[in-house]
Amino acid sequence: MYNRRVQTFLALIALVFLGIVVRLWGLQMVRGQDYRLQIERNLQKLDILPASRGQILDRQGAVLAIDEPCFEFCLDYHVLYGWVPGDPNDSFATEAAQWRRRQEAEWVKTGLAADLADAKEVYLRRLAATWNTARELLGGSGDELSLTVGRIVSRVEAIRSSMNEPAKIAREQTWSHPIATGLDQATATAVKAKLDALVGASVRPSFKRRYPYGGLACHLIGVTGEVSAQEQDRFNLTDSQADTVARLAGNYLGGDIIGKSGVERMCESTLRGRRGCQRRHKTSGQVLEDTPAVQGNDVPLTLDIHLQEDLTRLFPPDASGCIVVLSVPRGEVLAMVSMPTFDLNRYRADFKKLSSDDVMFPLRHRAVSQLYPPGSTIKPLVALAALGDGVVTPETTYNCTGYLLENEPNRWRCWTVKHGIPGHGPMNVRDGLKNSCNVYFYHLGGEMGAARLAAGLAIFGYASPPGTGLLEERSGTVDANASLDESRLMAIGQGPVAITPLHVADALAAVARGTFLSPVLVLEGGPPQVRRPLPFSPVQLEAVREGIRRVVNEPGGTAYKIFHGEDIEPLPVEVAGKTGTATVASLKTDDGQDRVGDMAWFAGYAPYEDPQVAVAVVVEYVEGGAAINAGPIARETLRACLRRGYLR
Amino acid sequence: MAAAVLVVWGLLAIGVAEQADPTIRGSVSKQAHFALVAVAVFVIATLLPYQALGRYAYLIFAVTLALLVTVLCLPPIRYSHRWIVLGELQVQISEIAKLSYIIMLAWYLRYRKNYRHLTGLAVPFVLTFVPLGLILVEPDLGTSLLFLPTLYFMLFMAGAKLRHLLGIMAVATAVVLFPVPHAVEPGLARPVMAYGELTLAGRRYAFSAVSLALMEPHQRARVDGWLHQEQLKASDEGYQLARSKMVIGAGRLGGYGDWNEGEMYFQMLPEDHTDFIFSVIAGRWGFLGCVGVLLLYCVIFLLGAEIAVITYDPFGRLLAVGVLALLFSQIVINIGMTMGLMPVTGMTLPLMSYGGSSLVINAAALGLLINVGQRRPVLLGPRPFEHRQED
Repeated sequence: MYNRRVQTFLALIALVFLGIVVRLWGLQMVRGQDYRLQIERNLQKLDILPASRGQILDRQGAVLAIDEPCFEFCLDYHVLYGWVPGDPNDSFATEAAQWRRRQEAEWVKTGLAADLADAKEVYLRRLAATWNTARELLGGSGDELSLTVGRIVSRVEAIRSSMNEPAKIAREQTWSHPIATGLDQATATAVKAKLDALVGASVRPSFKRRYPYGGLACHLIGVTGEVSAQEQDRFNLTDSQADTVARLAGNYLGGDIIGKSGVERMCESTLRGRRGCQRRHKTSGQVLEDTPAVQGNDVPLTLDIHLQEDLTRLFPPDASGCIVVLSVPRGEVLAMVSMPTFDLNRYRADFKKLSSDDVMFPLRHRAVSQLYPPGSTIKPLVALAALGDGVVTPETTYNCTGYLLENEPNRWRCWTVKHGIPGHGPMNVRDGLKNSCNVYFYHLGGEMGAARLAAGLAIFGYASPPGTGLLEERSGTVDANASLDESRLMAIGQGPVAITPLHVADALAAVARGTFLSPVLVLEGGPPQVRRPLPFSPVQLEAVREGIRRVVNEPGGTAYKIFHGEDIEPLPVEVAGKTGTATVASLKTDDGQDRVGDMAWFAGYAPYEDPQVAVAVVVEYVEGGAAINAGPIARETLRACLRRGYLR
Repeated sequence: MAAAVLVVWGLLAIGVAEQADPTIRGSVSKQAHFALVAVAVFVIATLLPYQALGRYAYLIFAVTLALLVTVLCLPPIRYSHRWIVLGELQVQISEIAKLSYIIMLAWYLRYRKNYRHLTGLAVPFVLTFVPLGLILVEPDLGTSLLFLPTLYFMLFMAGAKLRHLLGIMAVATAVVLFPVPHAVEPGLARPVMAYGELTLAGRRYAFSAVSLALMEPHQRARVDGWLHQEQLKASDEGYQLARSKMVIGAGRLGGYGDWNEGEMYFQMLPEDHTDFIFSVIAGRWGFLGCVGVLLLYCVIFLLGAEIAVITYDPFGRLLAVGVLALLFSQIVINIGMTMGLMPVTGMTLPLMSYGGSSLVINAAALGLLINVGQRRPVLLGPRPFEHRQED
């Protein structure tokens, strides 16, 4: 009986041990290789080698944006993690505690601390010194430091909570994270000398974006910034799409720099390099796999930064507006000025002020993203559209009496009425353009109707974004369903039609060359250029060109005095162009700094016989019309082009 | 002999763990000192007339209970009331309680038969639940869990009716699993192992087994971590278990030999020199090493069973059985938890884990076992525990 029970007891032991052995077999013999691989991965460390961003160059090779070497002060995540009170159930708490204990044991071993209790003191002392250093580098007050650290910690914790493996520590947790970036050599050396008295701190080389021309072409060049979570979702490859090294090389990690606007954003894929990475053995440091960093490629622009500089100076202080200069033969953007500008190098520091300015909107890239009523600059295009549609011939005349309709003399008036001149008399297309006769164009607009008007304007690209590839670009708006009244208004560039200055310059260039070309901003790697011959006969084109030649070169033309005034040095080339004065609602602001006035335009090209450059100028909220505001700027723009060799 | 090999092997394993973690430096030499003490205790335990010990069994047990109460009144060390500090030494009272409990129970059951009836089982159970409860509130779930299997094995060997024992177990299971409502900690996605849940007046309640409802949140989380070992997130419980399994698995057939790498390798495992020493053994010496350890334990069990059979002294028999049951329960719970067969509880692997109290007590227990084997009284009456059916 008793012996039987002893045997039962032994049998039970044997059975349970057998169960244990079976489980061991499963863990060690069946799945052992997997577990060993997991461990091997844990034993390795991936180090990241930074890649510099490519440069942005102008057409002469002048550097507009460059990554310059600098230094950054980094802290281990173990230290940063201490910023928030640790959750004792958190797996990283154990990791961080071990990390700390290892440090302390090391100090005892090297004699820095007398014993483990003393090492704890040393640790606390160094930790305080570390945070102090970080605070100093970030400008003294703790606010910036709190923000930076809080951002990093919440970013890494977010990554970790998205992971699905229990024992896994996020790669980001084994890294050092930059706290203060853009340190110069002197600061870096000073901090490096202190590193021995800090804990978990390091100084490593990095890159800092610099813009040698400050505010010149700032909107066009654009800014960079830390990648957002949405951008990461959009651009990053997922685990199933690429292996670890490829993802590490190409993906945006938290804190990475990405182009946020302008060419920096448009050419992000070209400019951005590929990070290198080294897979190293944690203890021996032996390099197991080495993928070198690939530096980003340069982006050469069609822009001439010196011309841009000349043109920026043409704007009076406190004025806002744009100048666009295109080369007629190839449609290249030679200069594109949006005023006011801001200093790219101070963008981050000044961001609050810049973004809150709701009077001047200095961050707005007006040349491609501000929709203006085109005013009379639309008239050459309306004329061509009407000629092309057969609504009129070059010889068709309408009589301008100062108003369109006898029974409503005050409604559809010509601009002359304001100036006390009765009317232009009989007008054909050439004289209609020369005099910018509203009545002539009311006739065209009314007879064509909105749909045909819109189709005609679409020939010049007014219904789509200009096409440089800049993501800020906006499509022009032309209402194809507008009423008869609105069609008449559209024909003089008011009513439901709005376009950007780049649209206007490009349309004038198309008139000059007889072919539509979308504007080009990037010499290589931009979007393909659109090329469409204009569907107009040479006679029709000649009539319109002649009309806008007269605007500038015949006495009585609306821009004659601008180019041929008494005390004005004449240009050695013949210019064709069109003025425009668009009425807009005034800009109401909260603080009473209302902006009132018209949008003054000038759009044209030169030389008349062999067109080389097309310009569009708009000056916002001015009194007195195009002739005294936009015209002179356009004239001096052309003079600058001459000086820079773009006009012969 | 087998015990000595296990102790030495344990020292080697602690050495492996120590090399990986500088903060436990000196553990090997400390444990070696404990081993010397353990040998001395072992020798003393073999030499004492164990029958005399039996006469003081109730006194020893009473003193132990007093100590258990005392330790609860002392300030906590590492969040629990487990240790009494004597100079440099921390003595874990629950370890002592294990042994004195066996002695007491063996002495109590020695000449009785009443445990063959259901009512007679009441006293042994009460005697079990007193130390169990005291240890449970320390809290030291692992050690308190040992008492029930030990009691069962001893009662079974003493000849209590299996149907009584199983019946009690069935009733206990039913009670333990009886659903009661309890509040769910805010922020928990799903209540652990609940039968169901409801929201009342803005608070969440779950119906869980009584045992779970009484647990601390961190204990419930551990159970949850064990149940869902394959699908845990990084911040959840189960981190230790996952790492332990990784280290065990990576041992494969012959163990992970590269010493330089081993350093990092064993760093990943917290508590590796105490409760998770088996993982270290499995990682370092592989499947073969684990089987070797189990075989060595088997040797102890076979010899122990031999002793339990050849002695005719009822107290000796029960004492031998108690020691074996205690060892067995510890081994199964410890090894089971390192491999994910059981939830993680604080439980040492007898003779191998780092820890003086555990080593010394286990050595004393084995000493008593040998002691029983050496002193066999002449049998005058019928062999003990050979109950006739009608008893």
